[in-house]
Amino acid sequence: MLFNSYEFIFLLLPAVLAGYYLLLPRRWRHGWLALASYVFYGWWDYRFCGLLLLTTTIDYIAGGRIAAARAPASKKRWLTVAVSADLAILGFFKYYDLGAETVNALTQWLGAASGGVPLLHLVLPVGISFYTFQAMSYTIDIYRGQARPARSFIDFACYVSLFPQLVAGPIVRYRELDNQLRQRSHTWAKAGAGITLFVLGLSKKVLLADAVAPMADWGFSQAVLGWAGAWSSLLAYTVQIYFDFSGYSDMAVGLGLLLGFQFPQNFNSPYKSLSITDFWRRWHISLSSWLRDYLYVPLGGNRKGPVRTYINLFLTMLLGGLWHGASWTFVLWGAYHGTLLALERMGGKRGFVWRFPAPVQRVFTFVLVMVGWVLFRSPTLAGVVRMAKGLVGVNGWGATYPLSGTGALNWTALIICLGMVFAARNTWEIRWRPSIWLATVLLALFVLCVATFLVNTSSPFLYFQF
Amino acid sequence: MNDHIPQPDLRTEFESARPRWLRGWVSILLTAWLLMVAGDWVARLRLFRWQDQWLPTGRPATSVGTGAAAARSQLIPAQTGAGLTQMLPGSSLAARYAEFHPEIVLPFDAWGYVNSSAMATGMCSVLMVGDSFMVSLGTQTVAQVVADIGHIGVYNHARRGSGPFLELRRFLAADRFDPPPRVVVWNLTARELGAPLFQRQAVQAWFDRTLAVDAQPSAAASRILWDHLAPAVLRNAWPNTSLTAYAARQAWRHIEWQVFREWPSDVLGADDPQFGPMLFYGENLRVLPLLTPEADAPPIVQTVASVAEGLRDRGITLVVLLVPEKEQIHARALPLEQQQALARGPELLAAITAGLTSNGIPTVNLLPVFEAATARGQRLYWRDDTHWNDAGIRLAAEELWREVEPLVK
Repeated sequence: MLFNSYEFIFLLLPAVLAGYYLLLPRRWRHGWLALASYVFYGWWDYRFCGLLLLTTTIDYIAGGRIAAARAPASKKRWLTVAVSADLAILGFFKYYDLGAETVNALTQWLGAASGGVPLLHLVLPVGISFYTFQAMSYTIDIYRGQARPARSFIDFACYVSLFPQLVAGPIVRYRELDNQLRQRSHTWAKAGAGITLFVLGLSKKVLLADAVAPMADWGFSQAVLGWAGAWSSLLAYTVQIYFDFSGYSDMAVGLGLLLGFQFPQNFNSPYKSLSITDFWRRWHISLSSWLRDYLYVPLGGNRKGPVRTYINLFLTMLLGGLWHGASWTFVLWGAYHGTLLALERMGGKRGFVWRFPAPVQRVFTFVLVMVGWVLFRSPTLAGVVRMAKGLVGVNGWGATYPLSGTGALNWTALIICLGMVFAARNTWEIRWRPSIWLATVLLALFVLCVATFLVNTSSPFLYFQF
Repeated sequence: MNDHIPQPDLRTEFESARPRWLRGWVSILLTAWLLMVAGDWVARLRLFRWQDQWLPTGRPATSVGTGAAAARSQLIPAQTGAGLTQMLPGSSLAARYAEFHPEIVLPFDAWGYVNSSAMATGMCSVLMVGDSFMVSLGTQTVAQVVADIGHIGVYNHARRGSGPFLELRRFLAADRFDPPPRVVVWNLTARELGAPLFQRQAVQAWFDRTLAVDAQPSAAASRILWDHLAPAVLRNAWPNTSLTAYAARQAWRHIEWQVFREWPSDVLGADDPQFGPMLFYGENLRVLPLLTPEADAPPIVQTVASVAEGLRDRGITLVVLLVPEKEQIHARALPLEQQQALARGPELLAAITAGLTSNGIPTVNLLPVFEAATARGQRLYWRDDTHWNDAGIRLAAEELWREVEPLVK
């Protein structure tokens, strides 16, 4: 289920809030949230609920055993079992087909007989990367002595499946929610802030990201792309992914506040970054800090000399790239960012770009990030080459996304997005006050968002019941 | 032990607001949202009657009460313009295509179907299942014309918007006809003849289950159609039966036209060289080109044959009525590109007809008949609607009767 869908806005959310605040006793709240989260998740495919439950059960049992065990070896054994099981499930469902395709391509290239490893064409369970990382953080933190075991299975199931951030983050570690699961306040201030963030996030997603999406889709689907078309569609994708993802995160945090939870900030004006290092402190913060704490630091971080630091940065980003999707383009994207991070670390404060004024650094970083999105967005390596040719002008100036008719709306949205990215404060920085003006704006935005996504998802009236 | 979690500034602002003001502020926003939600659900249940798709079958609809005494009629006043003009923004644009539709009185029986109250379920030899084409804007329905021509009882078991399957399944599950009709006519319109539609709903298994359940009529009569409550179906059904979505679409059509001078994507206006201005339905223009005889005919023939066999076991003969879309009959009014896209439509209908006939299923393919009549200058569809007019209904009924007559006399 999506936040910007009829079933969520008109059914699940009212039902969840009614049950949570009006109908059920307090002690049933976590059970109710877990149930609602499984409905939310099972709406795509109910079979995936089994997988979610399996991961939850494995980590709940392992976490309890780690906490109860006295011998370090026993603790380590349970940790190994849990992390291996989590990664095996994630690896099988997300990466099996990529691995099989790669092995087959390699054997074919080496001249071996065709056939090889069979492809299973598995359907990727939505959000598996997010909830696996969350569940893993539980066992790892207990092992490290940084978290207590959950009070009950229901509490833990509620944490892993919590629908506001189940499928697209932010990745909330157990230790961040532990106290909140034991006791949290439900205040009008939280509800007001939650509503505000939810509507603003919905607007970012529906009115901005979705409005520039056709421009990006157009560019990345062209067989031959000119310079202007390539850069404009890449620019459109650059703002689309930001407003889409940060909008979703805002909605998640807003929904969390409505239920009394406080989730971490996930985006902090990333396109205002002065360097790639700065960018990763502002972009998908919950993932980058997860990778830092559970991958980069265990690899040795910066404690084993400069060369190992560069290697660790590269490896962390490489795996971070793979985490985003089962495709070699994501691996390349990770490698690209890993290389840039390592180069910046090498240059330090004396690096080339640091000598220029901040606006130049900002533009330079923005262009580097944009170029990285070519790897991220293209479905294949051939697509990357096609877009790259357009960007360097191999095919001349070329056509752009149409400016006439409703195409003008898409261009207008792109300009608004760019203005917001560079000239405005983000939703977490603006000091919204609960005024009549704000209430009117929020209501208008909400109605506009609902109308927009309903126009895009409903069929013409003539065959309404079909 | 807990990490510090950054606080959004806006929360701080909210915390410093006066408590009573804040409570009122939040309550107003939540109330506005809940009113929107509640209004939409009320409209869905009362206006769109979404629940009719899955509620237990075999008993009269609550809105028409029980028994013959509860039958009612609906007056549709004379009007200029119909379904497609209502999808156009602005009266000036609609005026070019709108035509006059005389007043119609639709008689509903106790079960909510368009039949006179005198039509007792036990005395019909023919029963017709289908959707809007069987309850369209003509002064008579196809069932009424067939009954007049043949002087026999014809029960119209069709509803608007029911799609190709629902009414047939309702008939099978209800088991309220004693004795059962000798012939069941199944209306399938061209846009519905897509293999994905038949496969997605796993129609054959769906009918097989219904036929099996119908062996115990009492169980069937109280059975909820759970298939219509599956998430995949609801994802489409809910937005399509939403008053908010309807209002939003209408508003967007006006913006598209008034601001950008663009036609709505779901309606196309064109001039037929012989008949003048006509409106066409965008969804038909999108769906029809996707259908091919090679991919779509075999699964449809297989499914229909399976249903025919199930009916034959009950002593009922299935007759299939294939109805062409207006876009196919008036294709020459369309741009060349769309004419080419629609070119294979006749082949598909012919392939289905051939496949069904070879399985011993009487089939009436109206497309060649309609094409010939149109070439003679007879207009069979409304200018401003996707459905046929009185002339189309008459011609369809005559063709159908030719096939049905030997089966009932």
